[in-house]
Amino acid sequence: MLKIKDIDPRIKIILIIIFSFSIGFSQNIKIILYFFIFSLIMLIIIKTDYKKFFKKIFGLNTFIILLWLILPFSIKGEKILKIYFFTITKEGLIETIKISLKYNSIIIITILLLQELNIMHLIHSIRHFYIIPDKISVLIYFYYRYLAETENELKRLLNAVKIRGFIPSTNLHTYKTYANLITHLFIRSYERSQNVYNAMLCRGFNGKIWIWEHFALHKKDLFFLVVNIFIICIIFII
Amino acid sequence: MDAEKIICLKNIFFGFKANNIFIRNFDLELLKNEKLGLIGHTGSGKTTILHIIMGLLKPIQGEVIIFEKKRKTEDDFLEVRQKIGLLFQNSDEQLFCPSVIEDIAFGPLNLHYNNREYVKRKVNEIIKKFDLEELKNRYVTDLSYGEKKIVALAGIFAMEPEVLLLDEPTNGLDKEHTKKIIELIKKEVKTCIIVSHNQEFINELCNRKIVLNN
Repeated sequence: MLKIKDIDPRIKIILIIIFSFSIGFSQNIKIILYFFIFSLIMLIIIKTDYKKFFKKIFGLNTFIILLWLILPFSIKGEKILKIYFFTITKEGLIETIKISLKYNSIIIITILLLQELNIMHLIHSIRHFYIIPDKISVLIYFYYRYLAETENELKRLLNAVKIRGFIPSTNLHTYKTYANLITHLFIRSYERSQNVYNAMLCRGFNGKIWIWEHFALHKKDLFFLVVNIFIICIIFII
Repeated sequence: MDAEKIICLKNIFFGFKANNIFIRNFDLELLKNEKLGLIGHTGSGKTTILHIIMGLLKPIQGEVIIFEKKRKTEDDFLEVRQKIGLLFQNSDEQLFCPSVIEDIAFGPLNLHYNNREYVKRKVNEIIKKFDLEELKNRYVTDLSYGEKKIVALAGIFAMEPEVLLLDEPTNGLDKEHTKKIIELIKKEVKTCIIVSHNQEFINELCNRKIVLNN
């Protein structure tokens, strides 16, 4: 099985972009189906935790369920089935299948390629392509890092009210308690951010986060890229 | 001959509001190769003093002289922050890189970003010195309180500061970690200011102590 962790993150990002655009702009259902089969083959080849993987896929497909409830009935065309006042059209059904396959192919490939990639490496590789300015990449990193911190802080605050006998119900006291809780969360987050910034200044921070490990492009990375581009080209040709 | 004055605070007044000044007329001198202990009640301004030295807080009145230069603006303190290391009371505020090794490398990379070989050597040296081989690839968020404190201290040491400011370095630590920190300070630190509630700890390490009263 292919260990995706060993592949250079920059190659993975390039592949995700190429794959997403290729499938995104495809209109032929046959090509879209081949891309979907290709993503399923990748799922078999690339080592992954299937339990975690399918949990993510099911979660992300909630949007697709909504699409299936609306789109087949909304596009005009050849009628194939009538349910009370609603009519499913052939064009609507094909469009829904196309979007579902495209969406799932892209998320399967993205999840597979980005698994085990830490946020620092992801931001680092994005910085290599000059897609986003350095400051934005630093902001993304801090947003990710402190979202978890804020969640922990909220848990601590909730525990603090629970141990003093707070039981939420539909009354003014509950609303006031929650309002105080959110206010405290904001104040603590602000204080924490100031302190973290001060700690960074004390360690010579000057607006740029330097990366500890730089990426090294190996033959196997280029081979992986070339093979995948070749397969994408083949899909378009056949 | 007089010993070199590393840090000199003169007639410092500080308060977060104009009507709530809690540090009045405060003077402090730290000489080269001196270990100074700062003791005081909670809220007496011990941490504030350390933050004033690092330029993180600005006094309402008074002079901050560090390495024989008056320091007032943010630019003045850039040099100070390269030569003086501050260990924060709460290690969570100091550690923010994903892994231990990246966090230790953060300071050296800021100072010597053109010399990666040197940074790598320094970081590996610190990891050995602090016995962090097993922890080096762990996420900082997964560390215990004591481990976080040691990693935070290692991050400061990696910058090779001339002076260390340690804010409650042993607060909340067990005996083993406290012993480790005492050994490291004894062995590696020549000039420092230590803020602590622990009188024994201060007596063991410091040549001189200052007691802050409310």
